[in-house]
Amino acid sequence: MTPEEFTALLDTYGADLTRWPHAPRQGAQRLLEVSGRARDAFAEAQMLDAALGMREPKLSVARRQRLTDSILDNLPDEPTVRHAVHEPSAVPKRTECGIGVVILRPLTPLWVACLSFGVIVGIILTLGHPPAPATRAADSGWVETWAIYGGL
Amino acid sequence: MDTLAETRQPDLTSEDMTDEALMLRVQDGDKEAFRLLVGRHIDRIVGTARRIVGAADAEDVAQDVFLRVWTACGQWSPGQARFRTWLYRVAVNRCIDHTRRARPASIDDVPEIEDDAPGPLDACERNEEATRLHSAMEHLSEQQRTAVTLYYHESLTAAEVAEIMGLRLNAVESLLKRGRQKLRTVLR
Repeated sequence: MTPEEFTALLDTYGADLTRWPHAPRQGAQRLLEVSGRARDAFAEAQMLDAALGMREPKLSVARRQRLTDSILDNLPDEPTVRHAVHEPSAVPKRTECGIGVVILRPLTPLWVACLSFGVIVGIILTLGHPPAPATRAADSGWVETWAIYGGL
Repeated sequence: MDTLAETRQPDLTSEDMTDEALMLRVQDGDKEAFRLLVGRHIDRIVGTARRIVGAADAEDVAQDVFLRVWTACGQWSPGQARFRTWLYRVAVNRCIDHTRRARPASIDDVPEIEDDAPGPLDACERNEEATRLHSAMEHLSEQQRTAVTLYYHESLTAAEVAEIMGLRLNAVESLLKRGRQKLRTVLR
């Protein structure tokens, strides 16, 4: 193990070697025996560990009591979610196993594409085959549209 | 059904009951069991919140955490996670929610911490060190601060931190490494 690797591991796992992954521990021990640089880095890491692990001061008894009372006073009468874990419904929800989930939902883009394709084909076919003259007379608005979009 | 109820609510004295046993009672709406859980964990949660959101708001966040534990207790499952891991997950989420909508705190907002330290000099030194560390922690990103707090202050493993934060192990290791490197630079 190089001193650089050792420093990288110190930065990741801290100076408590028992918290390191098992594999690099022996290499770290050996390096500490021979490298002054590694020992310096280790000593610095131990100080940082001590600072980071420093216990936050406990709440005073009175303050703790006030906070606990405040929490208890603000509780709703009963937990809103009860037995969600211990008593699962025997019948699976419809949305979890219905045809909608099994077939329709995964294929939604396909259904939308088919529908769009159908509408477009319908328009093209309609424009390509104008209705009989009798119908045209009864539907002059349609004839105008048909002419504008190049059907004639 | 009575048999089931008896199985779920063994008649143990409060001190003997594990967190998990108390949580099963809480799920049945037992406020006394909840009070015991709050008593066991409130210092720890306030301490964690102090590191992540700062001292000024730590108690508000802790209150929010325990109210959430009560209302969402049905989401905890004894087979899926230890209560402590689940509690930290709730706490981390509340802290993140809080930091995202909180204004920056000024030093004047920070309440004095009532402490049971042995003497005034010790208390003074400890407070100085704590203040220096808190200032350094502010240089970390929210995720780095959370990972470093859970790993060092709460002595959780990197794997537990990953579970609590909903991240992969290597992502947590990276957060720890970068966070610590930044702290080293700031505290030097």
